Amino acid sequence: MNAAYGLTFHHFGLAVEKPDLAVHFLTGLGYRIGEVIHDRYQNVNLMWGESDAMPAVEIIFPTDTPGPLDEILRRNKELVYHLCFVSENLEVSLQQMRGAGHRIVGVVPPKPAPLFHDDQVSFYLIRGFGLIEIIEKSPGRSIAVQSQPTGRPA
Amino acid sequence: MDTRLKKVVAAVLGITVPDVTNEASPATLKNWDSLKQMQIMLALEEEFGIQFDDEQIHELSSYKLIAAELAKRGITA
Repeated sequence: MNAAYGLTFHHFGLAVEKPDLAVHFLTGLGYRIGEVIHDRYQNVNLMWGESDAMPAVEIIFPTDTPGPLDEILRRNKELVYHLCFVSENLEVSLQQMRGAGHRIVGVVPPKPAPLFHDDQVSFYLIRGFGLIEIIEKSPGRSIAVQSQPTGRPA
Repeated sequence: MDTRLKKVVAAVLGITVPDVTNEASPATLKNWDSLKQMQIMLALEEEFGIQFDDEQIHELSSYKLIAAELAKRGITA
């Protein structure tokens, strides 16, 4: 692992009540936006946004049933609420972060992520930094995104 | 201890100290969700200079349970 803590940045997680205006803004920035994916493991809806020039964005919005965004969105109508990183070895990454003195608590244990073809993702709270998501992938393999955006925005 | 504990819980939840009653828990305070639970426990670690184990971070999910654990550790205001 060359990156610090074995982590490489993957995307921002943007929580919104409804995706329409976020999609409008991001397409105006030149982002390509994918179709809505329902993540049954986290009970959220997701849309993937990517750009040639800017970091990827995962738009996250509630389903019709109670879910993990309810409290977050009650206090903030929209916010970047997590940063996501990729690790080739989750345990080693966690050990390295803890070894560097960071206080890390597991929030959501590893679960399949439909947006990433069921690669395992997990969430951690880092004191003084906030919430991070970690996608674990095998060495040498890239993360494939379900519902890859097609074409360029109008 | 009560005051410091309640202040920490109130600060994390964004509510007033009197709102944190002795019965406070995720069942009585709507915004005390799983993420806030973690934030409360990390804030308490910082406030009292202690560390909870991972199970406690999840399990001490009410004012009474946290207060009892702090008392067990001899923590008083």
